[in-house]
Amino acid sequence: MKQKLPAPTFRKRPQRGLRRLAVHVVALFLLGGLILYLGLSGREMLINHMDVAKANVSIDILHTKALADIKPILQEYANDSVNSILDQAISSKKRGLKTVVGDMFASGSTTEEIYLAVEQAVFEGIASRTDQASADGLQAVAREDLDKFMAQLVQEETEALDNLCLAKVRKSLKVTEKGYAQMYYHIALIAIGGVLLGFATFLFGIWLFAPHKTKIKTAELLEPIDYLLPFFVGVFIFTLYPIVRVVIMSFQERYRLDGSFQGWGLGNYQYVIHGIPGTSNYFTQGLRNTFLYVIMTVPITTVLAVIIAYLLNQKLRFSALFQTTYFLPMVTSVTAVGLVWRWIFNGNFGILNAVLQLFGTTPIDWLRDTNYSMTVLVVFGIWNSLPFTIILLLSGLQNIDESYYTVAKVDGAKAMRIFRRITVPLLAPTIGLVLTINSISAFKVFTDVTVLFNGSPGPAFNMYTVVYYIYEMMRNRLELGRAAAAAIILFVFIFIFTMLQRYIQRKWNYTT
Amino acid sequence: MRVEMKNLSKHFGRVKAVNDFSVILNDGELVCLLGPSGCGKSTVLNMLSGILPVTGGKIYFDDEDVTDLPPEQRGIGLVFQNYALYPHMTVLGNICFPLEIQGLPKAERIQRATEMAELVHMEGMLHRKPKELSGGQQQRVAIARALVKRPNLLLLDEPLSNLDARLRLEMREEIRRIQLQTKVTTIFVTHDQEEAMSISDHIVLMKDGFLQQHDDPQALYNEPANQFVADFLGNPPINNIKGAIHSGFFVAQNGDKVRLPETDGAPEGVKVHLAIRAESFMMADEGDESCLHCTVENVYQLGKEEMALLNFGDTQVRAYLSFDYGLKAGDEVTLQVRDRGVFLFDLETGRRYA
Repeated sequence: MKQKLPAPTFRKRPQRGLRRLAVHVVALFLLGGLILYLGLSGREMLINHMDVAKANVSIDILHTKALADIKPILQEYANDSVNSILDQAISSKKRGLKTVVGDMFASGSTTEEIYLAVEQAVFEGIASRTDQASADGLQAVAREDLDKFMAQLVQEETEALDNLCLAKVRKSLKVTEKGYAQMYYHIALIAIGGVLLGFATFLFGIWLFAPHKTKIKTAELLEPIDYLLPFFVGVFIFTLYPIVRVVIMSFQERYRLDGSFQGWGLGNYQYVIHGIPGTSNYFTQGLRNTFLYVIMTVPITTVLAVIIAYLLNQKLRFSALFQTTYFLPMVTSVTAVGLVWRWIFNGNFGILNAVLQLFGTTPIDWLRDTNYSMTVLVVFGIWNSLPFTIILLLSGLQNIDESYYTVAKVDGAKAMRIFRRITVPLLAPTIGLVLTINSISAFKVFTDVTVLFNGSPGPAFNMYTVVYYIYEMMRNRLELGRAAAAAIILFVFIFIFTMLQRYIQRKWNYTT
Repeated sequence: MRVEMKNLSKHFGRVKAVNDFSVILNDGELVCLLGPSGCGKSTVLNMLSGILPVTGGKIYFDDEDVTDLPPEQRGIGLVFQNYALYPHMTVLGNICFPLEIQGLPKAERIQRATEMAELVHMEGMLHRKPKELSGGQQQRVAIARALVKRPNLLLLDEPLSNLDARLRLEMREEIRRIQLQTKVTTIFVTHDQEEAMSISDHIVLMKDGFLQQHDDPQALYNEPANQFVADFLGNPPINNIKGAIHSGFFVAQNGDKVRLPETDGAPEGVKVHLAIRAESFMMADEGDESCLHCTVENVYQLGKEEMALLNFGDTQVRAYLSFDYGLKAGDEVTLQVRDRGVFLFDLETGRRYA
């Protein structure tokens, strides 16, 4: 039996555009406010922290100065043993005093209060190290001069602390100060928060004053931005910002992990290119090695891969088995396989030497003899890059229409001529791509070196590559600026090399 | 060159693509291999070119048995649907390539290629790359490349399928012109009956790997060997009316009768299709007992004539009728059939009685 459906009820559809606009205004206000708050409070905390640090340094200086000043005055009235006690007393109080003064300063105590605390601490220090009688005696004899000295101390300390306060008022920070880097982030947060709030206000303005049509239109414009934003945030944080930062860092001399550096200039580049005069320059060595590696591995890999891909594409028997064999390196870890290769190349028990010995060759210590380091690295590199190259070329081969071969065969062409005159030219775009991809990745050779030579750049520090140099500069020597400069130089080389390749290969592309 | 295929067959596993196919093609003819897709016509072509080995039967070029000869020794030119022009070579390079394989000296290669380019009217574009040519021009180059080594047999595998309608018309005339000029025996594979009808000396019609009819185009249209041939050729398609034979008359299911000039041994009472070409209808004379009663469903103006879509019982019938009657939808008409373009086929087997 057919049941009658209830009559549909119509609800007024909410205007999605308007709701979207409202959601944006609220969300942007909240987000902007949060970021702005984080930036401002972070900045405030950092300034306080840095002021306290500065105050500590100043107090430290004052104490040293006070000690230096007090000592000769007291020496006139007391014997040497008392002096040594005084020394100990004052220096022992110094550390505790610093935190006290810092806290007082941070909590907003006046200069006078801080001074009194300092003065009292000094006398307490004297008192604690001598017995009461001699302390009193000491104070009595030195009273007059001490008062004079203390008056002077008050004045100096007040000036010093006034200067600190002035600095606080100015809130200006020199780039060489520690904490610069953190401040950078806080300022960035404040800027982002400000922009977001501004945008939220702008949208709110539209919400309040603009005609209905404009509101809907604005909301429609917002929609694609919403979808793009997550992607752009990722790209900005993980790609764009690091690139920009490396470029900036390469011009910051003696840049440290805490964000401090000595100044701007080309010093990093000079160091990287010239090295330390009189010592071996590992960067130029690395550059030479890298170039050699690229020039040897890329053409050999490509030629081998073209041949293997051509054979794999012939639909021979066991072709699936061969494909698996050739693609195996792609799914294995370079590190694990590197260990196997270390065993193959081993001088004493290595399988390579065992095979060579069958032909009567004397065993070679592949991994320790510097003459063979490059050979070993190149062999390993070719083996590593072969599978991906074959996959690319195989897909290129499979894109060549069967009819080209059929026509050529009907015309009587032999396999060799077909390969030379048809297959290779039609594969040229893929070969060009493979050459570019492989040279870029060969320029970045690093893992192969570490794995093969057990974490060192060759048996006698002779197998530095550019990326190994960058790694060492950053990881072991913490010279971030120099590492960045080396990275930029490598980038320039790769860029020029790739552009050159593209220029040479400009006529290799026949498709459409 | 005379081409003879004798009991040719090709099986792919259990699929029988070509069955017991025997045809003789005369020297200098343009023959179309026609049939719906999957009927085995490309397989026949590939066996002729030697790309596919035969499962059974023989192929003779003139009187030489070429069945087991490899493609390059058969002296054939091949043109594909996608032209298969080498994209990295110029027009000249493409046309020269077959000669290069033969090891001809460069000067002769270029001279012969230029002659060929002139033949196909491409002499002005010798240094262009295929991608800089239109589809029709690429087709011309492909034909020139196939002809440059002076083959005895030119094979064209659906050469016009990638062209738009206007170019297709132009190119099929061009192919005919080139073929007549070079007098090369040509086999042209197509599924387009109009194409086949318009340019070929003979048509070989295939279905499911079997030869249906081999004849000149007009004969194929006027005297179809069976139901399939009649259905496949002609636009609009032939009209089939179900009925039976009774004392020299075709009697339709609703009792309408059509007088038959001859029944050619169609036994009394056998169930048949009366197949009538659209142009074989005319208005019935008053009082004639041989007539079909139809209702006009729609009338299409086709410029020079008028085609009526009629309902005869539950069968749809298309008929060319004169403007003079001023037919419109819903009219009742009585039609008569002419003597030409009317065939009688067995309902089950499709074999022709008359």
